[in-house]
Amino acid sequence: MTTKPPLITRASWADMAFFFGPLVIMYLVFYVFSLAFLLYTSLHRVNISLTGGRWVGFDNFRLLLTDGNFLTALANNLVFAAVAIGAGLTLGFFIAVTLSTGVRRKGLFYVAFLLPSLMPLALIASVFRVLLESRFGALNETLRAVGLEGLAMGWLIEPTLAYGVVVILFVYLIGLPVMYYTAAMSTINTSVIEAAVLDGAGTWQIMRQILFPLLRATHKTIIVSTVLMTFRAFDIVFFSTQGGPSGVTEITGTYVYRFSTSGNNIGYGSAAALLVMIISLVISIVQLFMSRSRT
Amino acid sequence: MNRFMLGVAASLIAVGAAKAEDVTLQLWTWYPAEAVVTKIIDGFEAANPGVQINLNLMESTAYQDKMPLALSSGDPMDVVAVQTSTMVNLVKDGLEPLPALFEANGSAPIDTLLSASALTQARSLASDGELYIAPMGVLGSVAMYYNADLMAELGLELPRTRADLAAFVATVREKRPDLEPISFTGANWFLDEITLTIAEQASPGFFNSVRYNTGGKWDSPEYTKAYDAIVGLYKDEIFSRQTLDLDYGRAAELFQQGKAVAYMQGTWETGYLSAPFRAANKITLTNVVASGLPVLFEGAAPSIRSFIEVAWAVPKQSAHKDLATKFIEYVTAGAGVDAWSDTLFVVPAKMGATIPEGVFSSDAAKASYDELSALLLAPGSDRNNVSDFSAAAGDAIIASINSGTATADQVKYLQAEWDSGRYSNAN
Amino acid sequence: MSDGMPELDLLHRRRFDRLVMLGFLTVLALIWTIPLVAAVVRGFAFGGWRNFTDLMTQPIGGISLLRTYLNSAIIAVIHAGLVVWIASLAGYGFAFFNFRFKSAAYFLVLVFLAVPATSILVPLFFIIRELGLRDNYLAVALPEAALTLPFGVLLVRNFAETIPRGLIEAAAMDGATHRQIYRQIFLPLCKPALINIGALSMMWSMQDFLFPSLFFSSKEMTTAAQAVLTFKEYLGATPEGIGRYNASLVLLAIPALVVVLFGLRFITSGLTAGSVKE
Repeated sequence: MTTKPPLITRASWADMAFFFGPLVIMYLVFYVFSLAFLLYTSLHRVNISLTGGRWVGFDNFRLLLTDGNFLTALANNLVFAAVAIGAGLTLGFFIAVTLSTGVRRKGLFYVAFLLPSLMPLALIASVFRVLLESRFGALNETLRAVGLEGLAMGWLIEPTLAYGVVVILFVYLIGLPVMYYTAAMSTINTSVIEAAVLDGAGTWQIMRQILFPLLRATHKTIIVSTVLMTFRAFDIVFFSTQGGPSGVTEITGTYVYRFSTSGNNIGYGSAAALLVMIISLVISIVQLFMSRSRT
Repeated sequence: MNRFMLGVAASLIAVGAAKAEDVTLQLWTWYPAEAVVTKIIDGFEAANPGVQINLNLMESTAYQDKMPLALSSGDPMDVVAVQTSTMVNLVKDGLEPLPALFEANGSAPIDTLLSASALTQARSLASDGELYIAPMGVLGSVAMYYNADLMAELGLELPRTRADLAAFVATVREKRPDLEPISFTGANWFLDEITLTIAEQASPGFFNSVRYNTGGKWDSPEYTKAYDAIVGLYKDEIFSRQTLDLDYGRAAELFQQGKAVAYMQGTWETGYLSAPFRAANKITLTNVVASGLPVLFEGAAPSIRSFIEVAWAVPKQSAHKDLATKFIEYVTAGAGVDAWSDTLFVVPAKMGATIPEGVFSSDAAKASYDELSALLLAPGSDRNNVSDFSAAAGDAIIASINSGTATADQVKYLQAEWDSGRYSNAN
Repeated sequence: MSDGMPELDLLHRRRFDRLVMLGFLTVLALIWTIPLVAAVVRGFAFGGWRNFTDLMTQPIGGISLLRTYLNSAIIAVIHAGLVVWIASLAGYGFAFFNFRFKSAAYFLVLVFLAVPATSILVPLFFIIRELGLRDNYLAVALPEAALTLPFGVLLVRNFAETIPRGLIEAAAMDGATHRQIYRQIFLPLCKPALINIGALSMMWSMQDFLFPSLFFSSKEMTTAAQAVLTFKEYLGATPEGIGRYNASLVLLAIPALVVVLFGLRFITSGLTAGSVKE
């Protein structure tokens, strides 16, 4: 894919201002200024009124990197991403392929899987939370009603179970990988598949050895966008477990939120925000370089 | 230039107003709710003909932004409410010290009108120790509220000791397993409040010694004892682990709907004892009593950590400081107290305050109120929380309850966190 | 949904395989719909339709449900409008201008796609306070737009690259200025991409809980996503309360549902077009 030669070389300053002005202003205010501001406050000890701060150098960063909770949050980002990726590349792949084989009413199936990813996550996570409440939640009530009292556990109370709940929530967002695969498959040259079918290759074989490798670019897209998604995630954990119990399910989003809104030690919150932002930007840069080198 | 013009205009208006003897005071606050504030204002205006009060009421977080801004911009303000937190230090340079104002315009020196402990706490909030704010009252945590009708049905008495509490819970579970014996939120900050209350029972003043850096430590026998006590309550199933996923609203609702026999929260919920409050908020409970947390150790005493809440001040820029002072006296120590005291959200700081007739529907309720009131006015420590640390402490407690993490490790960890500078306590 | 979806005749004359795959798919789909169906069913618990009608007519905790719809809609429209305007301009510029450091600039624009909303909360507090935008729709719409812009520019530029150059060249030859070309040729041609990014912006706006909850303090301004939290506090844990809470969740989902169902095509093609980078 080569970029076509530029059309009109002479773009006057007025034109540049007109076309790029609004974008530049938005970026300056919300990204450049934000970075600078975070850098400044993260080096101070200051409260939400942002007056009367005290210089503390890299203290906040040192505290941040020695906080077990923060490191857990980072690890959780990666674990949840890994699980979501695993589910996307297997279940998601399977669903997309099946749907593309001429299933009747595939639109309905498609919507069923995709809808949760497109709704407000606050709602989805809340629905799960209400479902799983140990005393009055629908799941436990149903289990008790059918005599499976023993299975009615504290889904949001036991640390391991709560972790599992968040994992399930991330997997619940499988609609996006399904969508990516579906779109990618529309560009596949189907003659390869047809040939394999006529040759009598097994369905499973075709999926695994032909389709799966063909969609390599989509795998990569899903992997990167999922990792970025966990760094941008907030609602999904905040509304289900709030990072609990005891910070077991904390992700960087909820951690930064907690320390950015606590009012008194904004410097520390800024340090956390800045570090997470830098990590995200690095991932983004790596991804952009990778996609460039592919062309 | 703007400020100058405003000042000129304001003084012209003030002069003009004084001449016409019709004064308008600007009142700023976030609490109490509009209905209650209006009642207070109407009462004051009736008692002071010629005085009008203009109310600027807004929500708490908005207030935190707008009031200091307006104050520093020189806006016309006569009476402002101040949140009993770091806001005091933020705005104190724009406020008039109250003792002098009360000497000049009040009916008596302020130290004779409001309770000593409340004024001490008020002074402690200002870095220069001056008295800028007059508190409405005092609230604290934790307290227990009981559905007296259910207690009667189950033949239960108010639990006063750990053994009482165990028996209380066992009886409810046996006779009415559909009811929750004690409903309370499992939120981390609340478990921290319970633990601190327990600590104060055996070691009054413990929290203050940590909070105000006078030598107290989390990694100490006093706190370890309290920490073990709360974990033990869960281990012995006096507190149910099932309540750990209840949040504030849900725990309250269980109690209000008669699905819980007891409810644990801060004393700002004391409205449950008040018949008019229950009617105004459509709560169908008819008979509620209350007590402090049962004593968990031999030789310990009931305790509630308390602090002043909602305090009033006079800005330096007020053109009617005399009337402003009169209003503050009215609402904190005068006839105005009756306009809000039936909500029972705070124990009035007014010396010798009494609750009006008709608030309590039974003698037992009144006795409960007196008990809580006494505890609140003589606290061992201030309920002056560091909320981000409180969440961390609560998380540690929950970890011990869920996964059995050893107390010794946790208190050491908490002390390290307290010293780390990550939270709002350090400076 | 029949257009745009690929057809692989993978299972031609393989009835058994087809049945197995279909069965598995159906089971999965059922599992996926359980939470939402459960919410709807529980919404009817203990009050039936009244749960829903009550919520629509009476305010809960001082907040009217319909008002939250309005707030969400206004913010979504402002957000989408801002993004469409700014991204179409910049997308045109990146596609048709040539200047030094263009690829570097474009790279910089795209890099910020990764920024988490929680990371810029502290600077936003400051910005919104200084600009006096508290309780103003812009306090939420502006940051949301800023976070959507990288994707928007990507989308528009990619689309612009597919426009036949001849059209633009001819117009330039005739002496049209960039602004004229933009307005009279580019915009009309770009409609599909603009609708894509508009639909996506609206959808993301509906999903946003964070910004409204932090920058609005007036109850009047509550949005649908934000109301989820407030309603949780007011509607309680008793069976009746849970019925009403579930009903409220369903009702709060409706604006998002409407946007998604009507714009599904645009949303999916927008998201996937954005994932194909040149």
